[in-house]
Amino acid sequence: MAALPFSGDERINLASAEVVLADGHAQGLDLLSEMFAGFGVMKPHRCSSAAEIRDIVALREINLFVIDSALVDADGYEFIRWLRRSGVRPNSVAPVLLLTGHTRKSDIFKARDCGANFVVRKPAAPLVMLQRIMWVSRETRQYVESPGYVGPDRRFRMLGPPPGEKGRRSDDLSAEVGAAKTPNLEQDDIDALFAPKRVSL
Amino acid sequence: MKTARLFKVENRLAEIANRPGGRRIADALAAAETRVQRKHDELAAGLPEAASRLKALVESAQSGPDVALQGLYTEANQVFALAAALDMKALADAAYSLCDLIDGFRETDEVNWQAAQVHVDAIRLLAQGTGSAEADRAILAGLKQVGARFQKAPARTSHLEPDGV
Repeated sequence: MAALPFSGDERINLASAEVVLADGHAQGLDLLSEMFAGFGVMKPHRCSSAAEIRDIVALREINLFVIDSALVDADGYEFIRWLRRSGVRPNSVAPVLLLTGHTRKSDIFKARDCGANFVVRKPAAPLVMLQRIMWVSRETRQYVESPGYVGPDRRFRMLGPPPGEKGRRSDDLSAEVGAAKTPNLEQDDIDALFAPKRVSL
Repeated sequence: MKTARLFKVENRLAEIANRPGGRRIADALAAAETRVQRKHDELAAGLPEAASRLKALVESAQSGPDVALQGLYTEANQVFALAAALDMKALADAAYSLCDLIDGFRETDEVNWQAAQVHVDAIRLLAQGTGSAEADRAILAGLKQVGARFQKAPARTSHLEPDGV
């Protein structure tokens, strides 16, 4: 086995997790099911079509979706876009891993923009899959609802808006600092801020 | 919904995954690898049939609408996914090359059926097993040459790096 990117002694308990595994091809679905059984998911919801997943979404509270880009009746991107906008809480904000086979750069952008949390390119080795599951289980990104996009915040790092552009969000700070509005502190004033002082309690 | 709204969501998966009990990560990985490995023979036995479906698809696609080309792409993609999962590198690379080829056809709206047919024949041969790494390499080198004539981007050597995106 390859070196683990996390401690092998760490534990993960997926026995009671409600997981949807979806692949338009039976063999692909079998492989996924075997892998997840190894992870401890003994009764996943196995689906081959978007219609089947929609039925489950309406009935069960799902903790993780693993969706192949090729379903029998739709593509995975289309389903994820529907899920994010469905308003069926908490399923609409549940983590989604998208599986792709032949992967074009445009597919990655499509996956990001439809609201998937991560893309896993096939062959999805158990190590890679489990690592992605752990990533989404530690996910701290906020969710975004906007006219053009619904899903996890696509910004992994808070670097602010691109140079020269005004941010589109209310909490985006300007890159320009601007002129000081009060006189600079003298060094004595700064030192005084750090100096211990007697206080009366 | 006129402006973007940001909000935090409860991560239920984290709460469940961290419950007491469960499996050591190393054990979970070993169990998953063993279970996948156990399916190897069963899944590999289905590959020649999948390759035959490609043959039927490439023949019908030549006289059919664009949707048939999509069907060929989907099936080739499936052969890639399975062969890659089973570590059948030559077959996976040949199927990936066919996906690239079809993708190029869709971009340019020009289809070269001979090139597709050569790929399908190679995939069928590799699915049955040539029994020789030398023969596999020669087949892939031939496909690379065919692919290079129709691809804008340079073809990659292999598509089996074990990483996710």
